[in-house]
Formats: sequence, structure tokens, C-alpha cells
Amino acid sequence: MDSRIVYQLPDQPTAVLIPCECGLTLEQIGQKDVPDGVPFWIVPADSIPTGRTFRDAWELDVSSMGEPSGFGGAA
Amino acid sequence: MPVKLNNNAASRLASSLTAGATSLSVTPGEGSKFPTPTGGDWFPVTLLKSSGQFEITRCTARAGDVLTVTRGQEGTAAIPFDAGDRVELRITAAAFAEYIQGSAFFKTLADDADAATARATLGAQASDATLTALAGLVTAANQMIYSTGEDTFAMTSLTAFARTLLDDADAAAARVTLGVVDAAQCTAWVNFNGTGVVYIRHSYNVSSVTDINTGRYNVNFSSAMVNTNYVTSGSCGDGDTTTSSGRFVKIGLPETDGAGICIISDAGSFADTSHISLEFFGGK
Repeated sequence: MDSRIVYQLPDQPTAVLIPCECGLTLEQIGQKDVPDGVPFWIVPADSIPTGRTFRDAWELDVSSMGEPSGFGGAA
Repeated sequence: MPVKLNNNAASRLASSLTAGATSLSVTPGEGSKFPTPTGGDWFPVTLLKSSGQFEITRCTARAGDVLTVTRGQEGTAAIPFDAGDRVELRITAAAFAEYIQGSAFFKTLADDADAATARATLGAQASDATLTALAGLVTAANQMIYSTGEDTFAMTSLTAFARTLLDDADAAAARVTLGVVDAAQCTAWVNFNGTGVVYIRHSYNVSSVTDINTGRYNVNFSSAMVNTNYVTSGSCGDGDTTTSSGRFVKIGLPETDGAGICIISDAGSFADTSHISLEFFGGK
């Protein structure tokens, strides 16, 4: 899949969820695999930084992300 | 062709009758005692001499006192009669057999000597305790009959799901229906690249891998495990077999919906690496 699902928990760097071809839609995967109640966004894979040297510093600019694609645990 | 009958229909020949005659006249004014057959109807007429000789005929038409008859019926011979001999409507064997109403099949049943013969005619089997007990059950949708003893039966549920299991040809097919995985088979696996933009090469029963931080991941199962007693094994590397430095996979606490793992370098710190393979056994 050429998309990624991103979310961020408090005091943690941005988590990037790499979806598999498992018969579920991206939204369904996000709802299933993102922690309950946490907003997530579906973004193009090429929007993810390739350099991981400062992986611990990845932050989501929620203000520029627009409405979330969904929330974890919300079927 | 029904038999027509009248009570007390009797008269005498008004004139003599030859053996070959096919019509006879009765005493004037007494023809009306007899039925008037039409359209193939008939009635039996017995002609009786004073000597006791008799002949059975079949009357198929009557016009006033003149009866049209077929002579020599039911094993009797056509013989001449004299004027004054008796003409009577008497029930005969053929008339009685004809009088039994019903189809030809019904008549084959009517002449059966006993119940066993009648059952043979009907193609039916004798009363049976097992069948009687089964007939007493009140069936319903998604119910099946089972025996609780000799000739005693009861009903129990048979769901649509149960039927999908019943038609399985063998144990392997049944396991598929039940969603049971052979203990010897891998219940989930994934091969992914943990460097750059992390991507998954291939997987089974994995819906996603969460890239949490450097060298830290969570594998999320498509179909959750039913327990956390599954076995996790994994390997990792960077594709370089020319150096002795390496990394190893460290597993976190297993969850039914996923498992956390991390990659540790020789230096004891989290590290990204390009080839991470994880396999899970059991848990189903």
C-alpha cells in the first residue's frame, strides 16, 4: 500500500502504521490498530521522512493535518 | 358405466323368446318397474323358467315394455324361454363388482383379501414403532431428530453454522470451517524493512506494522489470537554477511491483537534494520 496511517500519543513520537493487504480498508485498519480514541490520518507513504536519525523527534503538526481520517477503536 | 338398480323390478315375458333374440317384452304396463339405462348404463336381468333353468342377461336399454338385452352373461347360456317365464332384476356378481364406485386402482384395492395384500397393492409398509415415534415429533426450522433410546426420539438445534461443518469431507476441511489452525502451522508472520520509509514485503494474518520509534515496532494481527500463549520468533539483519556485528530481536509482552518487538544493536541500543522477519505459532 502506498499509504500510511499516522497518529501520535502524548509524550511519544509520531507513530507510523504500515498497512498490509489484509482485506480491510485503510480506515478499518486505522480503527482497528490505532489505540482507542486516538485520531489518525491517512497520508501518502512518500510524505513520511526517509531519514530516521531523529526518529525520536517526529511530531505531527495536527493544526495542518485537517480533519482526522478516523479514530482508533471507532468501528 | 354405472349399474342402474330398481327395487322389486320383476315381470314376466309377454311372448316367447328365442336363444338368439336380443330384445324381450314384459307384461304390458310393467316395463316401468325396470330402470331406463342410457349412455352405457345397464342392469342385470335374470330370465327364469318354471323348471328352474335361468339365464343372466344384461339390459342396456328399455323402451316402454321392451328391454334390449345381451344374452348369456356371467357364465350362463342363452336358451329359449316361453311366454310367462319370469323376468327379474336380480343383483349378480358382475353387477355388484361394477357397483363398487371408484377408479380401476381402487377396485384392485377393494378386492384385496387382507391388510398385508392391501399394503402390497398400495406399496406401503407395515406399521412400525420407529416410524410411529418419528411421526409424533413436531419439527421446526433448524432442528434435527436424534434418538434417545429404542424407538424414542427428540429434537435438538441444528444451526446453519453446524450444517456447514457437517458437510465437511475431512478433518482438514472441518478445521477450515471452524477457523482452527493446525498447531504446526504459523498463525501469523511478517517480513518488513525497518529502515527509511518502513514497508512490508509480505505478511500473513497481519493487518499492519506500527513504526513506533527507532527499532521499535508493533505487529497487529488481522485476526486476533484467542490467547497470548503463542510463540514468537524472529530474526533480523541488514543483509551484510561480511561483518560479525549484528542485531537481535527482542519481544515484548504478547497481546491477543498484536505483539511488540524491538531490534537491539550490538551496542545495546534500539536500531533500525532492513530485514526483520517475525513468525507466530499457536494462539488460536
